[in-house]
Amino acid sequence: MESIGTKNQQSNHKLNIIIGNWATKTLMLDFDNTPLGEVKLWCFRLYVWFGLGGFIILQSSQRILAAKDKRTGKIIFRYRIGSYLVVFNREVTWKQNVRIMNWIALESGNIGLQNYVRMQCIKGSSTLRLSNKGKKPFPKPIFHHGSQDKMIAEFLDNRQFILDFLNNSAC
Amino acid sequence: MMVKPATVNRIRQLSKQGKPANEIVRQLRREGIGIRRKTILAYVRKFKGRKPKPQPYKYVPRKYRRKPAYRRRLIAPPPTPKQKHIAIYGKHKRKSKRIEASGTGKQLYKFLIDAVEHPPKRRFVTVSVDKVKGLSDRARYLDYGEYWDEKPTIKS
Repeated sequence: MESIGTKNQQSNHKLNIIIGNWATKTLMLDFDNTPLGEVKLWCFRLYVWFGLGGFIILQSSQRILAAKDKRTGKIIFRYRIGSYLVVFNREVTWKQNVRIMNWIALESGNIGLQNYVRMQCIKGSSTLRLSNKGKKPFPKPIFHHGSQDKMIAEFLDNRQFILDFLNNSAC
Repeated sequence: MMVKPATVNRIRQLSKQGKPANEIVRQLRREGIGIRRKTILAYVRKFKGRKPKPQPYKYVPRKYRRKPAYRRRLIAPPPTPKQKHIAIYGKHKRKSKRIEASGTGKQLYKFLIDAVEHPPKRRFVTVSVDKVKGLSDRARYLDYGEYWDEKPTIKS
């Protein structure tokens, strides 16, 4: 497998730091190198099982991979994987948050997600990136389901605040 | 308003004939005397010895009446500022550093302008920005002599 292209747009902001949103009462997840269909599947499972009200998926980055035949070297098929950030609508306590994050990390078997959950447990709060990171652009919402009025509204408000800050300041 | 004595005499004359006010108005118009209806009615009332109707307010259509105090629109209270939680993280001298700032928009914006350039003094700083107002307050948390390293490769 090899990466044959990327759809990421170059961002104009040259920051030496990353700006994100942190919260203890919002359930946030980071799926690295996962197809979008799989991310949706796990989100719906969490949404139904824990009654989380609704969720929004943001695309952080995307890659198109190609599987080649070893003998001939021809491309058999192409597929997309990406990094997706998920925010859920219902307010949860930090105890519930850790419980749900660890449950999904174990069940999905996603190494990237497991590392993310470990980092959040060390820090004592969940963080999601909102600014650009090197060549990666800032995350954009691509899918939402259910109600969006509580923690998602707060998250999007913070996102808009940071985008306004980056656009107005000469970063 | 000044009215000519001849016009007043004519109104008096017509009133004594027992003509109603509307007919007096029409008659004066036919004779080419221009005068406001409101003024004619005042003179007719005077010559006939009648008082104006009590409570004239009730003859005004409702839509033109002044709204009572309880029906006036109240001024909406200003919205309460929302608390925002922003994390800034990067590397300084190859060590990861992190600021977790929370506060309302205006104060947070001022803090972000400095925090984007200068790293914190300690590796992990949590700040409630509403208490941090001046440069001296910000200098307690941020190291103004230093700058963040380039190319952030830190994990969130």
